[in-house]
Amino acid sequence: MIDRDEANRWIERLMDGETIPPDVEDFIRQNSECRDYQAALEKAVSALESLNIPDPPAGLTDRIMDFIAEREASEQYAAPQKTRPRNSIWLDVWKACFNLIPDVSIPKILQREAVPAMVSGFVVLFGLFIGPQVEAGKNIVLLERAKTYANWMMEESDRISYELNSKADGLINHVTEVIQKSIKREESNSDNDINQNTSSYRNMEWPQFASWNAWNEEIDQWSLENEPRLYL
Amino acid sequence: MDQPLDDAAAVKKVLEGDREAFRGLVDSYSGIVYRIAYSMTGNPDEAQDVVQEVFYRAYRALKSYTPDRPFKAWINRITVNFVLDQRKKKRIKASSLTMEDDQMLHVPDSTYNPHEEQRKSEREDVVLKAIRQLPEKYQTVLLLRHIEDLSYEEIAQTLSLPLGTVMTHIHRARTKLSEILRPMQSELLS
Repeated sequence: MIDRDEANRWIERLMDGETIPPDVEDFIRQNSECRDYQAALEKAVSALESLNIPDPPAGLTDRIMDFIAEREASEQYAAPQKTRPRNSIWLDVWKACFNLIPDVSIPKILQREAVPAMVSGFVVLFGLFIGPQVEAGKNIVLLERAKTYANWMMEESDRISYELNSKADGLINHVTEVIQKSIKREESNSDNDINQNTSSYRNMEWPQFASWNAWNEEIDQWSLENEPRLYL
Repeated sequence: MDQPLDDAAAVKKVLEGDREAFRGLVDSYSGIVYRIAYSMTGNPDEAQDVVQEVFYRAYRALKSYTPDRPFKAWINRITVNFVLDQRKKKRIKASSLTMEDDQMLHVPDSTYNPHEEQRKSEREDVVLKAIRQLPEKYQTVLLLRHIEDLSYEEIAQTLSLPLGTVMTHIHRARTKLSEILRPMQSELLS
């Protein structure tokens, strides 16, 4: 005996192109619900089969092969395909970073390029927090050095200035003494004989020095011997 | 029966470095992949993009292909999965508007491109709209069964589903489609 469920199952098979036995066909014809069901399914199937799916465009195979070649070529220049750092130490570090920030999804590019991401992270941290301190430390050292050089330069300039002053004083004193001696010598001669005095002054014996150093030493020696007397 | 053997040989050649051997596989299956893509997207340009991407993915994943399974079922599965993934992504994008693809299909003509409308017959459009109102699992089995004329076994292989599940899905899909089409009878008849 055929029931409605079995008839519906046969209707399903009918939709797949099977032929149904005559007794089932009779049952469907006499049962309005089964007839409606069959009619509805036939409409749905005919609507599906009426769909006009276009043929693929001409040259599709060539286009696909070109596409594959292009993608392959572009991937050769792209970043390596690793999604996690290969080194286990870096992997542990990376996992630790993940654990530090719960409920935050790290962008895939950062996951793939873990090592460069961490290096650039360190650079940023260094720039933000450590860099200024290091810079300040370096600046303090530089400042100390500059201070030392400045002190040294001041001391040196004092010393040079003192030496030059003493040499200049010595020279002036020496010249003054020579002049005084010659004046005294001339006073002892005739006051009228100006020409003679002049000639004697002109013919006065000036010290001869072998070199600049020798001249310096001579002046220094002379200054030590004569300075107290001169200033007195 | 020779086709699967040929396919397996072609796959072997490709894996040995002969990329041109892949051309034969593309030639054999680009038609069916295109039709599945078109019937699931309803857009020829989109279908063409899908075909390219599907064959590229297949080419890259060829190592995972096992010859004990027909290449046709394998590539069909990649196609179906790819289109469903794309839909999911689109849905996520559309979620900012709080409208899903299926809901958008109920929106009247304001979202349609008039040129596209002219190109398609109204009858086809009504049917496609009705199909897209079905749950994805029903859409897929229905299209594979009635558009691609795949057998139940082939559909089961393609979707890695038990044969009984495929039969149930097809039965429910047809019933549901007929229910959706019932109020549209006038449009279908016109």
